[in-house]
Amino acid sequence: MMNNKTGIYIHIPFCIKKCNYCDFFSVTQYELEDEYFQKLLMEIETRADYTKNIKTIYFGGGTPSSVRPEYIRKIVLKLKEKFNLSNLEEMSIEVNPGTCNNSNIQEYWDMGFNRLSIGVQTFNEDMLKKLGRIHNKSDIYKTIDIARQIGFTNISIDLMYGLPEDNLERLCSDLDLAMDLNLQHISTYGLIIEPETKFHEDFKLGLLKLPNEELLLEMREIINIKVADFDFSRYEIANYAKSGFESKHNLIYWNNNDYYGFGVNSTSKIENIRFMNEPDLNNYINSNEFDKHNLEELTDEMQIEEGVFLGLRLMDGIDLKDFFNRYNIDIKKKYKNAIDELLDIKAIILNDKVLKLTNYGIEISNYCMAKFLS
Amino acid sequence: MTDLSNIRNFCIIAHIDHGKSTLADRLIEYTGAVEKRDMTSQLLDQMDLEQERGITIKLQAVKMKYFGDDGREYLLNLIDTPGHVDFTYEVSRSLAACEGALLVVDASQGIEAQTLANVYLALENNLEIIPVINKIDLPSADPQKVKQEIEDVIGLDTSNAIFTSAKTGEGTKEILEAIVKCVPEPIGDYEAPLKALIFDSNFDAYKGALSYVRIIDGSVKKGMKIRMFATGKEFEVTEVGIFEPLHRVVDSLKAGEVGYIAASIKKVVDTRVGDTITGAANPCKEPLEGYKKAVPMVYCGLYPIDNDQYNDLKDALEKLQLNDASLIFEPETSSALGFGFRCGFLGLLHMEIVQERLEREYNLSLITTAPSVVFIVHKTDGTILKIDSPALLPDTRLVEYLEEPLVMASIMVPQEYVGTVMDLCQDKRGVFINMEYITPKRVVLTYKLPLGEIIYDFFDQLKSRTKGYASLDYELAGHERSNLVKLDILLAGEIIDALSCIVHKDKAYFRGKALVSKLKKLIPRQQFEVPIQAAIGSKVIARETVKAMRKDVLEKCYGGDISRKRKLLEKQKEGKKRMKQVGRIEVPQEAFMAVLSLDDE
Repeated sequence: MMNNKTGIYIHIPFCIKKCNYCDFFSVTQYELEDEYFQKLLMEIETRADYTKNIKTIYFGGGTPSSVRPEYIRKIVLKLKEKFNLSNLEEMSIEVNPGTCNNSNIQEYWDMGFNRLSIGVQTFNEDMLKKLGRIHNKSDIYKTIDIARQIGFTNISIDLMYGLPEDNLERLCSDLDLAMDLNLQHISTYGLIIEPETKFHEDFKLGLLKLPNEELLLEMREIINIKVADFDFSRYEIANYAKSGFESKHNLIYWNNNDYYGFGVNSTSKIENIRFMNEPDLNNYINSNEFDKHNLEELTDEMQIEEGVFLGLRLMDGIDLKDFFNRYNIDIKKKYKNAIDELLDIKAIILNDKVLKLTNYGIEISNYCMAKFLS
Repeated sequence: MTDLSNIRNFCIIAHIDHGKSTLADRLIEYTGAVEKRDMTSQLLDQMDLEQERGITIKLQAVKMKYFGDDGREYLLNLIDTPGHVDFTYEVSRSLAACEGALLVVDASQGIEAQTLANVYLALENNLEIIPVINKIDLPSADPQKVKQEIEDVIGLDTSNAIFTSAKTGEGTKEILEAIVKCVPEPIGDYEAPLKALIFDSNFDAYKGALSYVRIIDGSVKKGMKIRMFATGKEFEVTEVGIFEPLHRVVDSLKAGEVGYIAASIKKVVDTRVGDTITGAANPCKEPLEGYKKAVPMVYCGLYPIDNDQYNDLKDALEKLQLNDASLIFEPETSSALGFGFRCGFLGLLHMEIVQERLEREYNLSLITTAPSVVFIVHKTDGTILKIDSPALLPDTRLVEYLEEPLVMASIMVPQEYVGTVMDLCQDKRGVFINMEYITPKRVVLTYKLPLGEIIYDFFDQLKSRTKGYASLDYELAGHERSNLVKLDILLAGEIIDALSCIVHKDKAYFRGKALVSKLKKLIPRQQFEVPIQAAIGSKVIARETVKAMRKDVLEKCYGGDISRKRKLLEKQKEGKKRMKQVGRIEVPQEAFMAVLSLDDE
């Protein structure tokens, strides 16, 4: 079950303000910046393995663009020192348009970042306010302009749909504006009301009017159709890219390859071990150890199952031969019952080469994937 | 004659929650029958289930030594009684084994219907009753009022009433003194042939079925041949012993004493509660009065969710039956659920207990079908049929009419709720029999009600509509002709036999509608549309549709999400395991009991 593509994820937990829908781990205590990055450097120093073949680096958050660029630079230098980056193919950073200017984007470029992931969410001013975003529409354009002038040619944006009081008109307008920008990659997420978010509170009070299932399905359909006209291919459940611009880092997750997660609350999977870092920021900063939380020793069986459910997220599906070479498993035989059942309801397609979800299968993918668990 | 003057046999009568088990613990603790370090709270309720539910299911007995104020040593046998209407017969047999009873009443709650019924049982058995007013430590306690109530309601002299708090231990010694002074010593003839009353039985893996007995006359010891009156079966005694409360072997048990007899009896069915044990060589002429064979009142189907567990279920039922003679079962086949068992129970609580024990102690996943009573079917050809399952009802064209079982129910309720309770009884097709003010504020309503209505949600409704103040007791009152029809439920066009029920014609429409809308909520969306219909014969009276599942997708799944995603999928898979595959449709366990909770809507 060896694989030799490894990614590195760096978590930057700081945000100027928490968005109303967000349950990702983040804090607003920028006074802890310095201590945090000290600790993060130490963690990389301690856990790094120069023998690993690092393909991608991804700075996520939180809001990586909201911290002083020199901190990002220190981390990048440390990674260069401690890991073999000679085969590095992609280096991404997440940015919030409300925190971008000529100088920090230029610095990212100089440090070696070759991909920007911009948290746009929507171009609609009212909706941006409703979501509690710190930026406005013109910030989005400004950020993209700057990035292009500096030289970025691989830019991704995140868009959300299924928002409170959402409708097809708003979504179409967002998609039109996004297509006008001629970008390389789009991620689209339906809103999920997560516990312990502002939206969850509002939802419980009956203040959120959310689209029904029919509308959500229609919205996904419209996204699929609209972006296809502009040479985007859907390559994963929520992700679209122009040819060659698929997120290499995220493909590491979906291909069930290895990744380091550095920083508070981030997850690593190295060979058959998966664990999470200390989830509390103060504990992360103050403890002398790098404790492994929720440590799982992945059995062959678990790796196979995860290989299947992650592989099914990809529109290309699972290459049966590759799967056999990697896990020594004939999917057709091992999951005969699940496959028969899912073929019967037209949720999957199976031929000699691949196993993949149909459009219907994607919409009920949890149901389909659960069938492959023992 | 041996000296019986230092023996006292007594039991405790109390409503659930009035503190019987705690009080028993105090008595045991005071007399030192159990080392303090071995005391678990509520010693008499040994099953986990009993401790959790705060009720006694299986009887226990304990022997205590007490030095009275008069300087003599007394042997006190406490025989525990189950505190639920399902087990009224068991209670009556425990009472018959005693000369006295402590009547424990909560100082803030007052007397409840169940207590009253048991007190009358005790009075019928000529027991000396000592009123004990418990929980006087509670702020809401009004012991004087409760004392007066006991006097007014039961007509009992309460001049000797004891105020106590089982929680703090206050009054414990007074109770022990009262037992010694007021409860008569047992009368028995040691020389006469053996005559022993079985008040309970228990299965021991090594010794076989044990008979818990009160020796009325004569004596019994190891090696003696005994005979059971009801079955005529004979056994050789392998051991006799007493309860301390753990079993202790003794040489013999004599008239007046309480203990157990082991005689390599294979099944508890052969040592039936209420039966009389006598000597095989020199039998007594007459058995003791009052023996009744346990008759199940409620039936339901038990099916393994996973068909492979059928044999495990059979084994588990057989094991439970070793210790529970009132549980009966026979194989049953359902077109929807496959192979299972039709089981008979003393009542709803008994049913729930068996079901819970099967799931918990034997690790089975079960589908329980809605409980049914026994209907008498008069067929057009003049034959008569008894059915315990709606599925057994013959084609309507062959049925002349049906009879359903009735109960005489007495409901004790504060007067402000009389109207509410009368409405409820009316709703449940009750026939008013009597209303009696037992005190200016407390009323006993007597209604004749169909048992079928009682086993639905009557008790829950009664409790919720009276804020818990009403209490209920009932006894079977024969079968009567009634206008009943079979209500069928169809899923995706197929009749699901396990969901059928027999209901009164006037209620069929409402029940059908409510059941269908309840099922719509319970049945998860499938990959296709599932119509749910209620029908009487070929006439559909209600219809709903469970829409097909269209969307179930997690769009965000990156490094940190994978473990979570896995758990989510596992949970989804686990949820499916609790569902029964009926044809193409996955139906959750609760759906089969849905008919019980229709009035919540």
